[in-house]
Amino acid sequence: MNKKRFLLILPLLLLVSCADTDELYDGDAYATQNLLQNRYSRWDDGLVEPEESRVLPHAPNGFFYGSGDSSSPSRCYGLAEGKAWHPDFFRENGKELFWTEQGDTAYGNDIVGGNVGQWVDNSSLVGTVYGQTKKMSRYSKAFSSGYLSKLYNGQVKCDGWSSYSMVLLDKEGYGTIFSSEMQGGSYFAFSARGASDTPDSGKGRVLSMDITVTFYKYAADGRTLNGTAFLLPDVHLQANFSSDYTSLVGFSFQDANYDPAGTVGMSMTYALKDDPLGASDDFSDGASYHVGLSLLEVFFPDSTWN
Amino acid sequence: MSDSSATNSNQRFVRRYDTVIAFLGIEIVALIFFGFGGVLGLSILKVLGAFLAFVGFPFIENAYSKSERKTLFFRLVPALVFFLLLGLSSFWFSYYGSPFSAIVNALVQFLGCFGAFALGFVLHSIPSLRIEKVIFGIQVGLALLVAIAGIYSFARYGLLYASRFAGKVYYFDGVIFPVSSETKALVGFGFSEVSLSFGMGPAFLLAGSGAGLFFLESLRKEWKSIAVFGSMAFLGVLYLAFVPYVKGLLLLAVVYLSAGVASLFYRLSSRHKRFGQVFTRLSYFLLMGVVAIGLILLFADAKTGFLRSMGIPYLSANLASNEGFFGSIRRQIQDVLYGGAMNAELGKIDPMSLLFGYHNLSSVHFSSCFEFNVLYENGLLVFLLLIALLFLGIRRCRAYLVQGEDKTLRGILVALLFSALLYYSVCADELPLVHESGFLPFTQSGIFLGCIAVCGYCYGGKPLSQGGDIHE
Repeated sequence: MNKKRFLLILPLLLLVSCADTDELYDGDAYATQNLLQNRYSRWDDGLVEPEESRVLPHAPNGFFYGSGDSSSPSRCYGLAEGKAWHPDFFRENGKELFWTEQGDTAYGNDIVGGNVGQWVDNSSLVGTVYGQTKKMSRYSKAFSSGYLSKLYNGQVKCDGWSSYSMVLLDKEGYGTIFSSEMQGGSYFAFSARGASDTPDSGKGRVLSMDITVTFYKYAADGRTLNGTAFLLPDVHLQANFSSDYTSLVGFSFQDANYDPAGTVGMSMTYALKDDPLGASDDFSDGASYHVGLSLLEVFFPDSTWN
Repeated sequence: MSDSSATNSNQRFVRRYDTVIAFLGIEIVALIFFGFGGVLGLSILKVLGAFLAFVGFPFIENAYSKSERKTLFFRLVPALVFFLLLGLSSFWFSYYGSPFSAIVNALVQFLGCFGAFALGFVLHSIPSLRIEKVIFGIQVGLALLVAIAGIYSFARYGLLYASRFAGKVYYFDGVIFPVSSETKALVGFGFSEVSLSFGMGPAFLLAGSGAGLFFLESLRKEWKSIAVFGSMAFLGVLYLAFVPYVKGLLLLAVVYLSAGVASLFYRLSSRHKRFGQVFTRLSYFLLMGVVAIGLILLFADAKTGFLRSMGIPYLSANLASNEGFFGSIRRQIQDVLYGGAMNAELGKIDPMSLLFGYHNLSSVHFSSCFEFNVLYENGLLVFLLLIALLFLGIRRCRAYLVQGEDKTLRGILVALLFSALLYYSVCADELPLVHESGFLPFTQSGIFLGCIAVCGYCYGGKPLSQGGDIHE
């Protein structure tokens, strides 16, 4: 038998190993007209949310969300509360950052104008707009690839992109292992709103959610992932008023008494605490109406990675 | 210095430096086709090419008499004007921001184009340099580029990815990208994701050059040419096939069919010279007529949009839609005619934009036809000059092909030029980068410059003193 023949197989196999095609989707994946079909619920192997979590208060030494005023859906947006409690978090080289190019407004440019769903160069907004300045893809190129790159591209609101702008979660949430390991960071934040298939589109309502964020590190054995969970109770987010009304929710690692060095993954789940229309947060329960957590962006601002 | 001592000096120079100049010249042309070093590398190669052409001038003096040189130079004047105006337009002044930057870049562009052309001409004038070596250098430059990009593309996407993953998307920066419409290309010293039409250009040229083998005269005598050059052309075909790039393969079929018909016609007209001359002339004028009518129709469509409303299947709905081939040309002509959407609504023609190129760069429209991109970037005058030069070039290439004895080898060069003309008339892409913003104009690319060098080589007909006829 001619063994040299088999040497040809190796380069052929290598040519068939498809690195850029590891994560392919149909064009309308997670972007249908049906809310329930757009749910993203992937948990990477090894991630298990701990049963106990540390509860953070809604206070300057706990977590912040939105504008600080959630008396109506039209007031549930932006980063005013976080900026009031932690002004240093929202600066870059001493210069204040804003929710949009036009200021801390709901309607404004958080991305450079272009066709919906088309890639544009947003670098002109760095140093002015919070999302584009603190986005994860600026810290590591690894965050630019994959479905979850939606959460790392700096786009903090819908901008007419509809389902393409967000990752929709139900109560099962999602969990991801990062391609890099965090070396250090000051705080964690995410931009989110409620998403619902109830018939109050345009009128909207304020929801209350208990959101659990878990960070994972490898144990001493280098294989087991241990999670530290933080419960953010009673987070107020609007749903169905406007998809551009997203709120920045977050907390500092110091206030949470958490050392972020060594963090290699995170997960997020939620439980619907209060919904005036009584929709369900479980997409598989067959209820008439549902509420999801529409996640636009995840931040580990000013963090370092390897 | 008397004429005879100048001649002797030239001949000493030719004998002493022919190998060095030939080697360096081929090296530069190969690197140009390879696109070595991206924009910066190409700028350096432009300067080197021009310098080498200047140094190699004694070869031209040695090959052509003074009157022949004068004739050849005066015929070149339209091309020189074209090279000069390529960088001087209202588009480029707007693009570079400052007149100084625009003028510097225009001079580098002129130097590069004229230098490449002259270098090709010098290479043809080196008596000891055989055409096989020139072709080998060009094909090696293209083949290396194709091999490197191809291996990396298939390693990242897999074989036949364009058909295996048709309709599938991946996410980058939160945006979806169809995987089957991109490939990897060597841009500068790194790989970038580019559109398929941009990335497959070098492979198409390499594959298309093989069509010259249709002019084979003796299989027994020329088997080495077939083996070497045919293999390299086959590498281009393989890359096109293993993607697969269907549009490129269809265009390649057109190239080979055209070469086959041309070689058949040549063999027939060799036996019936009068018929051949008449038919050639008729075909030439017919082609000019078709192009003229086509241009009139496209300009009329820019005014009225009639192609879209004609109701012809595929043409009206696809090709003439705003995103289609003719639709993008329509938008370009409208921009050039009116200088922007505001003037277009008023029906007010902008003479500056029309004559010297579109200048309102806040919103630009490029098409996949490089000729109309030249209209867009340089204005109507340069566009018409380009069309005229293309026709003169076609005539010159035909003469070059039939003049010499080594028709197979000349056929390879002419097939390369024809492939470039066809491909970049329907598949040009000046915004090819998928994950970045980047403007890569065709007229500043290595492929364009390399083709100009080949044009310079083909321009160098056999001198009168060697039985040739530069008046062909």
